[in-house]
Amino acid sequence: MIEFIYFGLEALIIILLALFIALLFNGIERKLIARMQARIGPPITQPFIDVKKLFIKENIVPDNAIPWIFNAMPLIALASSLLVLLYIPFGGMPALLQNYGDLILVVYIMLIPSLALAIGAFASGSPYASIGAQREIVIMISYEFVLSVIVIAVAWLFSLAFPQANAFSFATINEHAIWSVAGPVGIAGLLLLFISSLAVMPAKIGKLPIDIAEAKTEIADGVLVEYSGRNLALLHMAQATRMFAFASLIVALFLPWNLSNIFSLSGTLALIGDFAFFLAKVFVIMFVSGIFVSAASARLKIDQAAKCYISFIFLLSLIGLMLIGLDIML
Amino acid sequence: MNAEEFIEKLKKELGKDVSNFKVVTTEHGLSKSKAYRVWADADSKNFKNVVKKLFSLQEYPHFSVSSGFDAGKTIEILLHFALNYANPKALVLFTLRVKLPKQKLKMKTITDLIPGAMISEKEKREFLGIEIEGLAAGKMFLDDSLSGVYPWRRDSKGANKIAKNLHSGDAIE
Amino acid sequence: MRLSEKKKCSIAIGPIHPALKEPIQIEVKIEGEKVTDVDFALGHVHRGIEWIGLRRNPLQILYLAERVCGICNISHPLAFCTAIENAANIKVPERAEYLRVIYAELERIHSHLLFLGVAAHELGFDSILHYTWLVREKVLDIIEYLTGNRITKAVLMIGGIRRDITKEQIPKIKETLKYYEKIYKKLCDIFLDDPTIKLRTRDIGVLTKEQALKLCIVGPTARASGVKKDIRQDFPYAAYADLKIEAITPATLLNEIRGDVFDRVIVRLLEVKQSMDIIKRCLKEMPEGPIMYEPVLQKLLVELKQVSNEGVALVEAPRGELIHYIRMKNSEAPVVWKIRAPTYANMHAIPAILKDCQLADVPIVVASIDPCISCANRAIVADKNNIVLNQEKLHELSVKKTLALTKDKVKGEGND
Repeated sequence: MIEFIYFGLEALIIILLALFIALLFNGIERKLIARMQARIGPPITQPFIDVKKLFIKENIVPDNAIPWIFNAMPLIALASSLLVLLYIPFGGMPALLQNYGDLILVVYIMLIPSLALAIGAFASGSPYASIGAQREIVIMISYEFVLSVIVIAVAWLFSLAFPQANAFSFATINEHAIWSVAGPVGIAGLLLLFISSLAVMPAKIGKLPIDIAEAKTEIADGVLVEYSGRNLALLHMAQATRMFAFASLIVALFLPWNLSNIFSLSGTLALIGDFAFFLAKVFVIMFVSGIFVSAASARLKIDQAAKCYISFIFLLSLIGLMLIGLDIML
Repeated sequence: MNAEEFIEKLKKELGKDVSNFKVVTTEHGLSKSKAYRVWADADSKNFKNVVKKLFSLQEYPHFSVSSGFDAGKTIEILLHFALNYANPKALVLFTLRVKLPKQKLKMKTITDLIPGAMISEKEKREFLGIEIEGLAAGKMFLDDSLSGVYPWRRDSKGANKIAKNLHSGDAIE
Repeated sequence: MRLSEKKKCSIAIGPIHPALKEPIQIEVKIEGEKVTDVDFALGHVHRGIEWIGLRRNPLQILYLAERVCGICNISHPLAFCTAIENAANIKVPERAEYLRVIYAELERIHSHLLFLGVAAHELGFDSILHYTWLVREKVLDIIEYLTGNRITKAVLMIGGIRRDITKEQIPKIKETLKYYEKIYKKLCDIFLDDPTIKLRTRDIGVLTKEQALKLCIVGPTARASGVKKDIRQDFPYAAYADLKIEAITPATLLNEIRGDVFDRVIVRLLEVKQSMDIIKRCLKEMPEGPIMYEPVLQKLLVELKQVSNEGVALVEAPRGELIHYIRMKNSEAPVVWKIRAPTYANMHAIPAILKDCQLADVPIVVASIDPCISCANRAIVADKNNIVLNQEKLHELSVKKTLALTKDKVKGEGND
């Protein structure tokens, strides 16, 4: 029983901390984009102010919406984005739920926020939202291939290197840097996979150039158009957390190094140092594929984006997979 | 073709279909370049023929806009054309005046010849109450709450009754 | 859900929509993402400006004409003045004609830069929006320096112009032109070479030359389709006849004309350069002399009251051919005043260019004809210490800024 409470408390702390960091990163991101565009930009605390304000505001449900779906979906989106964070090891800390699920589960859970967003938009009854939801689903289908290729490649490498361990488990992934188990050809393949995972990021988190489902100037924020008040606050938090979670996943898979190993730290210092280093890595990933790209590109059209993912980036990841296969056979 | 040659051709082509053919020139700049404005009157039944004849002078005559004016017993419609365009300093600003009697406010559409006249003709229909034969239905500017009010008319059908809330303070009447 | 069954769905873009800052309603019928049918309606903010004008004297109308459009506030009064000068047979002094050209071209630079920003914004490329609007500030500053105001300049007068450009002011204009020459290359690089912009604008919203001619499309929109209509080239007004202007088409730069959104962007980009050259020539060739036909406005009004004639004028506004028609009849107020702004003509192109586009293309395609969007003002709501600024404080600050820009000029002059 005590164990159970302890477990819950730990989960709560992780969730609150993750939410805080996700919103903080969102604030830094907005500030950085503003600076790149020669604007002053909002204060870094702006996301917190927004969320606080939205919670005070009235929550409007459109007349022709299906209320229970419409209201439930933001909650599901947020919950599932937060759940992902319980599976991903933060720095040196093993993940809280690492014995209860693996990489495949995480990839599935990461689908839920997108689906929830689309279902909620369909339920809102607005044509703008319906178009946004269709776009969300199309884009989801097109990048999901790439993610599955990455998962297969990672698991393949680990299963050959450590036949006795669970290749999909985050415990295995956290213990051994993936680059150490591959040969030179495999490293080239991994590099390609790393690049394609970075390319998936803008689509996964709905940032430019793939913010097609929201597309402010086209369909007036698309999937979000009918949301207001509490629901919108939840969705804001879900979006921020989704970005943080996906960047964390990339870090966990491809950049698992820790400071404590390099500087031979131990105890609390190691924990804090590793965690800070982990956050820094997440931020770099977010900067490269989220912030910088979104400040330097126009929005693509849905057919262009889908084509890009299904043909070009999928091909890139397949080549990566083949190189890894080649490496294993050699 | 320069503007003077064009005006000669225009005059010859239109011939007796128009009356009061008048050329007004103004000078501009240090080079004293002349700008040519041509005015002519056409009969309300015949005006479409005049418009058709413009096509023999230029493949696509440029229709700028039509102005309308309530002159008491008649309503004057002025069709402004910018002809002989895309030639340096040679554009002729041709204005065709059509007078419609108040009892019979009807004219043919020219949108079949020049599709670009659509908004302008709809405007005439909504603001002056002129029935335009052959023009597609549908309102462009005013909504249905103003039906029966024609803002540019100076008679009882004008906008004076709904204008009391508009600018009137220091207006000159 | 309906859409997945391939049923037609109707989407209203406007009158209030994040893509269009002005109230035009465009109703598009879509099948999935494809636009199948387009209809539009105007008149959501019909202000009755012509109606108001018929109850005012020509000098009062001048102020109204300036407020027809937030951006073309030189073109409208210029067209109005030219029309009434035509009716009253007033000869404008040559120096005033040159000054009119300079102000009109400064306006064109500012309008086209604004367009480039808006176009980028419609594509979601906000970094370029902020960049182009940042460089646009320079031309607004020079306008403020010359006229005392950034947007509504109030420099035109029937029979001339109200403010001269003195010898002391010319270096500052040249400095601004030099600045634009410097950044012009960068602007070209951004719009010509950026892959995402090209992906979103090439072969999108095509208007063929024949369509442009048939629908009587004007201005840069027509020129982008290869129609060499340019009132500055075709029809002498102000000092343009002296300046040998040639209508710009995309062929000037690329040797091909496709009439798509990209071409419309290119034409406007090239016209920024053309305007800079025109201003430079004007500064060099401007003659000395008076700038007003009749400096005493009372006398002018009396003279205009005796006019019984009609006048019509064409002006090339930043968006295309602008026409004003006016008739005076021995009275203070005119009996007819008709304005036709370029967007009024260019709206005809919208159904043609939107046909078979995707829904995602609608904003950029509509924006590509540059529908006349009211001007953004520069109201600052809070300063660095979070003090809220009210109207008086803002006015005081803007007067202070104008004076700082024009510090070598006499204090209190003009309309500050």
